[in-house]
Amino acid sequence: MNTPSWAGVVTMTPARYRYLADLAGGNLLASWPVPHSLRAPYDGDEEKAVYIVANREGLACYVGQTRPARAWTGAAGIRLSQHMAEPSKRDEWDSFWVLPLKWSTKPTIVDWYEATVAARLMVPLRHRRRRSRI
Amino acid sequence: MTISSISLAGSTADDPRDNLDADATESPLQLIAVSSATTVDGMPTLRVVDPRSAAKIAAELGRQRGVDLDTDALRRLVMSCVEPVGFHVTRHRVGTGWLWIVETRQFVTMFTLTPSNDRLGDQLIYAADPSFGSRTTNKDGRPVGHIAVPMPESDGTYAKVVYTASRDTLMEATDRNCLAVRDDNPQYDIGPDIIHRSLTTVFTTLRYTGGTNELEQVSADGNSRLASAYAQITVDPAWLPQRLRTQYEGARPTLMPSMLMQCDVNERRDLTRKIIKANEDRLALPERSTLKDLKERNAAVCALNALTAPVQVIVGYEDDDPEHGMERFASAVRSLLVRMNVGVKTFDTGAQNAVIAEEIVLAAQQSEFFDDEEVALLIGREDVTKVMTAYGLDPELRDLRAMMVIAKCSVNATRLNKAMREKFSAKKVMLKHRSAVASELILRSYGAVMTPGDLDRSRNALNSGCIWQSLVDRPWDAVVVNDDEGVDRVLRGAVEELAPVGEKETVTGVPGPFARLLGVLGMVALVVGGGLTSPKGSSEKEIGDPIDRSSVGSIVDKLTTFPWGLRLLAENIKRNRAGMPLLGVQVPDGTTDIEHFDDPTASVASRDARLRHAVRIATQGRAEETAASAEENAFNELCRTITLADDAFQTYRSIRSEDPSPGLLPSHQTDGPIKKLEFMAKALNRMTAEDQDQ
Repeated sequence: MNTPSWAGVVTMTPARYRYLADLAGGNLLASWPVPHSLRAPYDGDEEKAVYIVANREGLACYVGQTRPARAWTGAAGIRLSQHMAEPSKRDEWDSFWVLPLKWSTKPTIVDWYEATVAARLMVPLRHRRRRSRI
Repeated sequence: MTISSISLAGSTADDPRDNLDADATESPLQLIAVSSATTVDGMPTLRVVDPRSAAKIAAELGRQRGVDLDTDALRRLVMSCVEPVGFHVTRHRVGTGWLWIVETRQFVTMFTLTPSNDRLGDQLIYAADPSFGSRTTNKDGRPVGHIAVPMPESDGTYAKVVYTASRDTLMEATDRNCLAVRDDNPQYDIGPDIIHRSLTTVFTTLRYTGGTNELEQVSADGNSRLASAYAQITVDPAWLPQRLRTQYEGARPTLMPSMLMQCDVNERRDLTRKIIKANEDRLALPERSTLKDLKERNAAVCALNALTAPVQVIVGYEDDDPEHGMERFASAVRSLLVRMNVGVKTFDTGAQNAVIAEEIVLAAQQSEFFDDEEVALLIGREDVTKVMTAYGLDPELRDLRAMMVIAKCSVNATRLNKAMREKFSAKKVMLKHRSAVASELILRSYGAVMTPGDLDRSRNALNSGCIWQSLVDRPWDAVVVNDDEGVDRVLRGAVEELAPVGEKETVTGVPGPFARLLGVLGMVALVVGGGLTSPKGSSEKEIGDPIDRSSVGSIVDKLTTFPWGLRLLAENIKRNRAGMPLLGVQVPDGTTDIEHFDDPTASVASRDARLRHAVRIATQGRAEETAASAEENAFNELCRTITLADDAFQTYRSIRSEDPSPGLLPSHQTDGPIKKLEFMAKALNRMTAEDQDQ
């Protein structure tokens, strides 16, 4: 088997989720300290969010944000289903956690929050279209 | 070098013919014979056609297929020719039909330049300006300033166009055209050589308001060549009819269109004959080897070479749809002219857009998208008071005409889009096309009141995009907003659309028709009043922070999403109408609070920069204004660097593993990093609380 592309450092737990959610301050829409399976339908109603992907070992391996130009409910789910087009992600990603943000959250704040969550999870920020190293 | 060669060089320097300062024209020029007529001693000469034979030839020409001119025009055509023989009528394709054209050689003195001053379209004063009357008339009622000549219309019966304006306006416009193209696009080879490329001319009725109708042949294409030809011909006032002599007394003026326009056909024939005679007589004098003689001879050659030009005369028109008859003749000629002239480099963007804008409006009129009133309002070459009043709009308020223009230009309708696509030769109508059309038409209300600098600034600002997407996509109406109460009503409606909640006015709605209407009026006020200009990078230096560098339309679009933005727009609409300095907004350093500033001395650049900065802060937020403290951000930085260190470690490990059996590392190599990492881990551990989860 190949070396995993999506390694992580720390385990995602509800307590860690709450710790990260606190960093968002007043911009957090709600607290959902539960993992969602990537293989099950998702029914969140957030319009902007930062999300954390955990791999099969439960380690946080990816942090992303979604702030579409128009309000779509379940924005994180839409974004993640786009991710799943990549084979390495399909193979190794297992579940995700959503930190929903208020629609009024400013873009720079969303950027800052995504970067903070990634730093705290010791996950490099990967920008779109850049493939991970093997 | 020998001594004799030195002395030779010395002697030639004294010869006046070898004057090194003399320009190229001071070598003898050659007269180019353009007709078969000769004098008794065999010299080539020019002759004007005798009126009786002209009548006969004209009658024959009139019987040819495609010719659609009255007897007067035909006789004039023939009388202007150098040799009126072998007329051959050919047809040329234009947008809506065929133009019939005769090619011949004519005397340039027998026709003149076009009075249409579109080339100067961005510097003109249009009748749509409410202060047009007072700013453009002298005490004695004679107009002054550069007035936009109304668009030519079709004659209806014959292949002629009609200009209706005062005699002074038309003459002034034609003279100015002549001087402008002579400066902008001089043709240095005309004079030393004859005109090579044909001019295109069309018969025109100059309908002087309150006066007579004059038949004139004007050039539709080739104005630069014609103006350069005129520059070669000097006129002795004695050659002119008695009544004009005093006007030019004591001078040797070059030929000007107004000089010709004041003469009838016979007087022009006389003038032409006298020009030919004077110059041919000069050339007939025995040659002398002085510089003066050479200069005079050359001037005579230039005048004679420039006196005639190959001309394509438009003699008929055949519409694709016979029902239209001659109705669309004027626009057919115009489209021919525009296509030829807009490409010239001296036709700057403003003027080019001004021409294209009119073309689009007229095309949309032909497809019956705009009615006559809308066209009059949009084009603004004639007084719009009546039309504005008919719409219930106060004709004194320029921003209301601007509102109408933007409303009409932002309609997403097939017939209008088709016209825009065709005239811009674009695949798709974009906001920039709509903005270009709208901005030129809007500014026609301001030509008399704004300085050229302010006008330019406003043009750039509006051209950066004065129509934003939701004006096209979403419904809104231009409505009557004639007074401050009207503005307040629109403001109330716009604020209701946003439905702000609580003291902090958290917006829960979206901008609607009222917000868009307020935005349009507010944008005009901000741009014209000097509160918003085209985006510039230098503004960021002024503020010391990034600003929003989008188009003026986009800035206003964003303003309409905030209650404070709506109030700012409404206030400035009122202030601009009252002629007061505008109210500005700014964000004090280090905060995200929007506050007003009311400083009449603030420069346009600083108002613009502060407004754009405020819009950026309001929509994007300030990077440092997050929930994070300095400590939290420092911790983020630490985590990021450790992640980077891990990246570097993985790279090192993969390179090391390329060695099939890597040896162990000496402790001197690894003890440094290990100690550092252990120290960091220990210290971090000491800072960390017990984990309660486990």
